[in-house]
Amino acid sequence: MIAYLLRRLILLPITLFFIILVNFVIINLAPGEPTTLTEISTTGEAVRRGTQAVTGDMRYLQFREFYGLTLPILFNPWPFYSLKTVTNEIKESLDASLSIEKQDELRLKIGDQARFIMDKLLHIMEDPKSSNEMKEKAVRFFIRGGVRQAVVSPSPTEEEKIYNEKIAKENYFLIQQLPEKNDPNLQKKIEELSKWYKRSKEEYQFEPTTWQKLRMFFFETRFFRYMTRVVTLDFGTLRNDPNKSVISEVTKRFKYSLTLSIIPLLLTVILCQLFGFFMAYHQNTISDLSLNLLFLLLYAAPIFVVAPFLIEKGALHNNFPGTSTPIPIGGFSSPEDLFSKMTSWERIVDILLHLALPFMAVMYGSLAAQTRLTRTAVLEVMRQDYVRTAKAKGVSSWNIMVDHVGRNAAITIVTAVASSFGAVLGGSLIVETLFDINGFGKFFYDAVINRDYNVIMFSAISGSFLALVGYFIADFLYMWLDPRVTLE
Amino acid sequence: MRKESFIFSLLRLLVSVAILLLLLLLYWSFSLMETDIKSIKSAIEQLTSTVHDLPQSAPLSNAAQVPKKRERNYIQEALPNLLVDDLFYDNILPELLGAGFKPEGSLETAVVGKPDNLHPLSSWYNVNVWLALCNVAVSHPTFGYFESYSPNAAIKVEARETEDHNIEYWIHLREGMYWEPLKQDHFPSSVKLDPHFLKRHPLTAHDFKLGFDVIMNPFIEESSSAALKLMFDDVLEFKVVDDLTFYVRWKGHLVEIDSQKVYRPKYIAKNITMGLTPLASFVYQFYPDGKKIIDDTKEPDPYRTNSSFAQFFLQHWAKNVIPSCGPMRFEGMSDEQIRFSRNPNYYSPYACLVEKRNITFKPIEDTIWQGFKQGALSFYSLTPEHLFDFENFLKSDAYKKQEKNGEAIHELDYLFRSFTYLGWNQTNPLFSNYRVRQALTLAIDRKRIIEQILKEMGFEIATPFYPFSKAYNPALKPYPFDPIKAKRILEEEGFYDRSGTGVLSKETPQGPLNFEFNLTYFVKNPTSKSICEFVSTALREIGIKCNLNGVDIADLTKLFEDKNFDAYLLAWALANPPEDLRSLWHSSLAKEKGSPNSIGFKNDEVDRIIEELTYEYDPARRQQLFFRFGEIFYKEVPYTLIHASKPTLLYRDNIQNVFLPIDRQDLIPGAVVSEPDDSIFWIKKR
Repeated sequence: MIAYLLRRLILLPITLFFIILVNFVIINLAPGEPTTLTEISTTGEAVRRGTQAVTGDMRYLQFREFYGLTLPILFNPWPFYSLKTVTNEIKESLDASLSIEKQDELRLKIGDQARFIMDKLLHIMEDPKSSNEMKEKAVRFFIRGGVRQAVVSPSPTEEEKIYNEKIAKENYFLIQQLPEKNDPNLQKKIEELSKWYKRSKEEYQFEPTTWQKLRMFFFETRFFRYMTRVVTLDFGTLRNDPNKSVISEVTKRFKYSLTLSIIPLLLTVILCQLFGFFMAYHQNTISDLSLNLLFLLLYAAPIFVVAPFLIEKGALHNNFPGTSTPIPIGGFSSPEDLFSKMTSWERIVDILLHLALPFMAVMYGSLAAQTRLTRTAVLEVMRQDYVRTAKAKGVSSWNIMVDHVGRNAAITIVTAVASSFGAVLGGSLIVETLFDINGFGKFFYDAVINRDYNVIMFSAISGSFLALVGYFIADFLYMWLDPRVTLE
Repeated sequence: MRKESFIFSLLRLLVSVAILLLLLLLYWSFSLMETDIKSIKSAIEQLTSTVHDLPQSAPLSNAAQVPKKRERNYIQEALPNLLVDDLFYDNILPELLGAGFKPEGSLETAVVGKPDNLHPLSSWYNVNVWLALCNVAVSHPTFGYFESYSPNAAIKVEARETEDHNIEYWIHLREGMYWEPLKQDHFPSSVKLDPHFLKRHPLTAHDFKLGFDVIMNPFIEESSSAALKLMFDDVLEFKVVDDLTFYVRWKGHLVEIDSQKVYRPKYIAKNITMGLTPLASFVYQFYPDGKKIIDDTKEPDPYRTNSSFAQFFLQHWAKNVIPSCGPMRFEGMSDEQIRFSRNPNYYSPYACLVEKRNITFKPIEDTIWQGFKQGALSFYSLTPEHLFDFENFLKSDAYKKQEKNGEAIHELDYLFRSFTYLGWNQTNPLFSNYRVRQALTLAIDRKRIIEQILKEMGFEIATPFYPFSKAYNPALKPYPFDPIKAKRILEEEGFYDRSGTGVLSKETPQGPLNFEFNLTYFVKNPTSKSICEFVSTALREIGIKCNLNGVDIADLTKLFEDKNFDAYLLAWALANPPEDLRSLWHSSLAKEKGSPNSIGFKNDEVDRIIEELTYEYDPARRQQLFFRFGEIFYKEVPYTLIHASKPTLLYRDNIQNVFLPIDRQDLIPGAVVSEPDDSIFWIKKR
């Protein structure tokens, strides 16, 4: 038992590690830059504006550096590149017949490598045999590799400030050496850069030793950087706002998604018991058949049809039955300026009024399914011998239903209900979108669309972690429920 | 089982009831306290807003805002002012509103999606609109006109020629303009603001300089700043003379005009100078603790050169607030909405005629439409998809009830400055020939698209300009629908049905070339989808196989930027005149990744026209050049123009001042702007 427990506990982080690894690689291999310039106009069309222009390498550099996207994914072979490889790469990038996409890819790739191949780039720049075009390219990549990022923190230390000032000066010097097309001063610029290289090669490890190269091979990678953050439980910040951490954004949405999943879940459990027992008790009567038909229809109706139907036919311009309160069509609560003036009781009522429709939309499907399941479970138990015995003993039918049938039927139902707990984190994308509720589903969906790597990774990690823990607990529950199961 | 004594059970029951009662009493007393606190809170809020709006509670008038005189040493009285008085704001609007007018109510609108942030260099269009609400510029466009400038932050702009043939625009700022304080509750608890940020700061020439510096910083390459960076390339010097004066020196180029060599800055220089906006240096140069981000005393122009500042600026801690000095004041942004209130300290009382403006973020277009129907939004731009629903809604009981409550809906048709087009990738051998592109245009019945799909909410145009712009040549008529002629042209160009499959093909040295291509469009817009389906069917009729490729926005952007497509359907939003042809049509951008010239258009004459327009000042000659460009465009058909959009603005009865300047020649003689301006809307009390 203890051995089993230990084994499972050790396997847990290992499994999690491989899940992270696989997810990380897949997400990083997905095509597309995490940025968009095309907009949706007020009329829903895709629109562009001429005021946005082409920009150079610097455009995403800071962003990419910040997220470590300039590094290779798992291993970093770049410090081991030979002069020949680098020369060939630059030659390839000069090929004018390449498509724009390919050219851009190469430019980014060599640009990212530049920091690790500075000595080779310098060699090409200084080599009298290189063509001017080659030199120009090499200078560009050299500068790209030399430009460093400041330490961005809301309250930097004195050392960080000095460092930032130093690299700001160096960066400005470097960027001034950028060659123009057919630059007459190219040679002079190369000399300047060469001087700078000699001054700083020790500090920035431009000529690493084998040991340093090996360290770079394993540690200067995206995955290593990400893992070092994850083990300290730092899941990073949102792509578009470094002030907001992923964790805080997720917790902020907890209240929406939990309300939208837990309350309907409880309501479903209660209602399905009532209906299930009622139907089983009155098996094959008109009421049983008609309820059965109703639940069958509900079970078959897809959410993306029901939700708009509820909004269009149910809510729009209608009041709650018997009152003059209009049915809200979206949102979690009233607008903030109104909501902030309400007392706590009014707030609860306000939220419940707003959630009446979303609850229906979330519940109806599972209610139909669970009710039909309960009915079957109850019927099955009712046919058992001990129920007949109890009847023969003269136990009241209420007691039979509650003590003898209810308890035994519950095992099946609880298993079914428990499995839907897993959906809590997933949220409900369709309901959240249509009813304009800012929960997990939409949050994670938007993250995927916007290629917000940190959020996607967090959802993958937390999802798998919960699933692993869930299985772990389930194993113990089986043992506790059924004495025949042992974990030896 | 042991039986409990009756007394014991009774006692237990009594205790439970007592505890319950106690809890209820506790809740009751708490709720009473809560109500009290609430009422105190709202009373304080009311009090602060009353105090804040004290100068506002008097009816509006221009006379109340005479700036106090200060010695302005640098104004040269002899030089003419490039700014003209805006008669609309000075005379007509006050007359329209009548004496005793007070701004009231809240304009409620909604947008699709929530902005990433409110950074001054955001490339999101709506963010730029909101930034403009809270900011000023050197001048503002004279109401109803293009290329005419009226005083805003500047009271006078002078043009001075220097000895070395450059031109200096001297800008004399208005006195007494202030940045409103930041508010602590707009920030997460991790950001503690220094008292420095919690007081008003005067708007000075240094703020304009900072705005210029961040654009010119080589380490800031946001797409929105990159275009400006190119334009500012000609600025030789940007100098702050004193707190209220600065000048921008533009390079004079030696150009030949009417066979005479003259020095001239670019035509666009004046327009750009007039549009300069300030950046709040009391915010963006600092850490939240009130210390400067970089030491700006050591080097000249530190904000223009420093890479660390660039990095801090792009990730700035205040990137989710808008420092305000304009007609409106930023009041916070949540996940649901962004709020603004009227700035009572703004110099022009008529710049904002409502008390508040709230913009709600909605996930999809449909929820905005439902919101408008419910009466939650003040106005709404009707789209073809909702037209049918709108007509039904007008007949419904719900609407009748709204109408009775004084919430009737009015309609206003206008021409929106955007057009939708099919772009043909000219590097694709199928589309490299202009005759083929003409044939494709002839084969598509654009009139029917407008009738059937757009429900008449669009109209045909012949050249890619706003029809009310001087650049638009009304003599050119859109291509007719003529599939027979289209087929004939294709035959003349060597496209026959060789294989008997019904698909045209052409013999080329590389083998047969089938006329089959992918048409890319934004999949989430039903109108775009319908148009593309229509186009595909129409082309199929003349033997062209057009496969539909609906993609989401990220993929669309990527295809566009990599120029990795055959043809696509997209819309361009047009800027105010003067039009700039360079970014879309100059051949130097044909092979640049991400350039707006995504179709790879190249034409020597167009390049020459663009160069000439750069330095041409004569309006008649400029128009001539634009017309010539129009003719080339008409012949070359790099785009098949589908339609320019003509949306309908729906607005509730209480929204006033909804009109198109061009329709009110009685008020604004010679007005050309034909879009409603929501900055002059006001709300009538029911």
